[in-house]
Amino acid sequence: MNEILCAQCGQNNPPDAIFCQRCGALLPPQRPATEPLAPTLRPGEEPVKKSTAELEPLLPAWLRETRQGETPPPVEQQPTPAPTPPPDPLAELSSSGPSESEEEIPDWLKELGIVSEKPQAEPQAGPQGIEFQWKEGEEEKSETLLPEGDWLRSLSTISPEASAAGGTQTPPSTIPLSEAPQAPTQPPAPSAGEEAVPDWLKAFAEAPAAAPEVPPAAPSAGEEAVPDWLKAFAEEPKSPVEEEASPAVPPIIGAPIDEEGDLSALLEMEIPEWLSGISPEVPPAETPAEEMPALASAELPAWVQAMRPIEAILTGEGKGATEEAEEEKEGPLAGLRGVLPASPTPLPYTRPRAYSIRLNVSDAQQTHVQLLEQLIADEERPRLRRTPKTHVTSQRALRWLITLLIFISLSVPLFVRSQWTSTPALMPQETWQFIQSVNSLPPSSNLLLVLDYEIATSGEIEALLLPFLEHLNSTNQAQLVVVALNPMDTGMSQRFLEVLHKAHPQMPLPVVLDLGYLPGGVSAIPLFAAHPTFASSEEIRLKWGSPPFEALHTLSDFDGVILVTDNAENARAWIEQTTPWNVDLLVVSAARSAPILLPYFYTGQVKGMIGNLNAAAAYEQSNGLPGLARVYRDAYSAGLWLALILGIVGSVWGMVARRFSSQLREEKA
Amino acid sequence: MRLFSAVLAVLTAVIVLAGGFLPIPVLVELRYILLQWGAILAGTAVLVGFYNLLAVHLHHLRRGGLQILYSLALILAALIAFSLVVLFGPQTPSIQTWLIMGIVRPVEASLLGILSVTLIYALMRLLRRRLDSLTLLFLLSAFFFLLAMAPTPWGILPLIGDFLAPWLQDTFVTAGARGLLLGMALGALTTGLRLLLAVDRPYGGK
Repeated sequence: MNEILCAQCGQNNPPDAIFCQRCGALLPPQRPATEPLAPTLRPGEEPVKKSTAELEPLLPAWLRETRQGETPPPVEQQPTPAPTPPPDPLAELSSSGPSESEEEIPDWLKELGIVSEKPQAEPQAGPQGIEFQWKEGEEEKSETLLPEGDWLRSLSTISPEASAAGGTQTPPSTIPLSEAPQAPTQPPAPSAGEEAVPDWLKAFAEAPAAAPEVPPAAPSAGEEAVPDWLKAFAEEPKSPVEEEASPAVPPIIGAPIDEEGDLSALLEMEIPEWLSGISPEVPPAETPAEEMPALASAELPAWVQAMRPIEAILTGEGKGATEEAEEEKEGPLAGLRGVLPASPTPLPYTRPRAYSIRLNVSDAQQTHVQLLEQLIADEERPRLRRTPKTHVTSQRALRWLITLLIFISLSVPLFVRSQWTSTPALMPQETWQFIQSVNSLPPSSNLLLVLDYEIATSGEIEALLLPFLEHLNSTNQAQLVVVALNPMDTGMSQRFLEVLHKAHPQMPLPVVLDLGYLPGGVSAIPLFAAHPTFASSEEIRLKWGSPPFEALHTLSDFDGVILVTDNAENARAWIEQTTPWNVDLLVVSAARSAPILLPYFYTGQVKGMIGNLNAAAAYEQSNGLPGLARVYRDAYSAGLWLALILGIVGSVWGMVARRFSSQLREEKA
Repeated sequence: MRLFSAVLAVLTAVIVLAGGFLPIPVLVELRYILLQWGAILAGTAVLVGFYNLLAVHLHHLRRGGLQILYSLALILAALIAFSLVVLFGPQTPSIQTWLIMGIVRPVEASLLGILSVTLIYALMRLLRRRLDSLTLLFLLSAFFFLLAMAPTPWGILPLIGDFLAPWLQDTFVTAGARGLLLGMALGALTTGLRLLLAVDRPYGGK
């Protein structure tokens, strides 16, 4: 039993099936069992020449009508107006005049029977003699260039044979039928096989009987359906003189151009480049149509045949489908049938697979999900930072041990008042110059004491300053004007006097005028040098105007300036700002700023300096009055030795520990 | 406004600078007036700083927390000191001396004592944390000067205290100090020129 092969998916379906069981596509009608199925052409196989009569129904409607119009229809003459030609894609070209319209005749159309009579006519100078150059004697080439497919090639093989056999009266359908195994050469008798004969073939069969009854020139009823341009084909064998006598008949295609508007429209029409490049060529008049070689069926390459539409291969199946297809009514495909599917091709429909909305999660996956949720929740939850338990570590114990050792080493000499260290045998050069400067002061000199130090270093500063005050108070009844550059130093003059009185109760105290805090800091030094009392109160100014300070107006009026500082930056400002005032500057500096200020001593900007506790002790020794520097000296020495010993021990221990730790790392590695 | 402030600042700097270099009485007097204004503004800035300190810790008090006690103590101490000085005036230094020597000095001296402990601890652990040539050089120089400056019962150490330490101090230490001073001077000069040319505008603008 023959099965119907689906053109969409290739599924074999039962012969009685209408739709494909697989894809649901519309199946072609069942082919008779006797009619073999056209073999599928595979790549590489040589195509076999076969009958193309089956493709006849695939022709467009207008083409079939052309065939029908080629036969003289047995119709009566009716003075009816020219029927409206069916819409076809060549309608616009039909209005392009004789010369242009002939150029636009396709080759396959020329090779039809109706066009093949053209060489029989007398050659005409003009467009009617135009033939495409690429067409002459290049059937194979032209066949490969046919874009329409196999059905066009089948048509191309029809015309010569048809013209040779019967001329214009022979229906073109006899050509493919002659190649068919059972194709009758005569009009077939009414039989079952007649049902397969197309209608237009029947028309050809009936045409000879109707022809004698109707005058040849009379328009028939069948002409109403024949377009005008087909009439031109039919009358083409006429001589040019006859054509000129009947201008109403268009030479080739289209209606007669007798209006200027149509002509202008034609001229305005855009002509393709390939069409405009064709030059008119007059075919040789001596060559009759019978002598033209018949167009042999070309051997198409396999790939070209593989590109043929499925209808070209499925002879029987495609016919019925094409006949059932709806004819295009408008557009460039008007008149064509089966070019576009009449209805959307049913796509293969398969029932979608049903998926369950239930999530199949295994126990392990659920465990992982819970673990992940717990991790995320823990990240968002505030938690207390667990501080390590405070326990005594070696480092903490070491710090406490250092603190204890420093406390013992410093406190014991201070409480014991020990003097186990020797007195300094050498005095620094700057300290010796300081003493010389104090010794060179005039009696009852006016000195400016500038206080600029942090109160934390007041213990060191007092120890350094006290020898100077003792020296000054013992040798010179000087008057001291005290000004503070640091707000914390305000009132420190009172503290110095108390210390001095406590150390030497029998010693008279110097006259002191405390100007207080100098607002503006170092930026006010030039102003203070010019106007020492610019920021003082009225009470201070009254004292300033009275003896022994009435002679002091600027910084130059002082016999000397003693800068007490632990800040190298501010000391530099003082030194640089007071240099233009030509006043001796003596510096009492803490140990941390003395090295920075020492270069000013070497340049002469600073006359002398007391820079550390050793220098102060040497100053006391030179004064012959032991003071705080001597008391602090033992504690100072103990602290230095302790720092030295701890530093050496810690460094040795650090190198050993580093060595061991590196060995441990190497062993672990 | 920016242009005005820049012009005002540059003009002031030029006048002060010219009054320092040129002995023209008008310029000198103008310079002193400007300097006096600056000093008064600087003193006012201290007062503004005091007010800002109180405001910050009052904000801490309103916010609450564990730091409230420290802020409260600071505010009370500042207000008491300010009130005492304003009440008795600056001409009674005994109160200021008592405040400074009784409160400020012990606190700051304690901080210096902690600093000494920290420095010795760092000296002990320096080689464990870092061992290279510069570290060794630093340690050797520190040990050398500690040894040279530390008084001994036997006087100064021979060759170290009487020759090597003074030589090193007069050459290397002084050279380093000079380099520091030169750098500071160049930096101050550059900063002054940038301010004078309005390249830097700490008073506003850029």
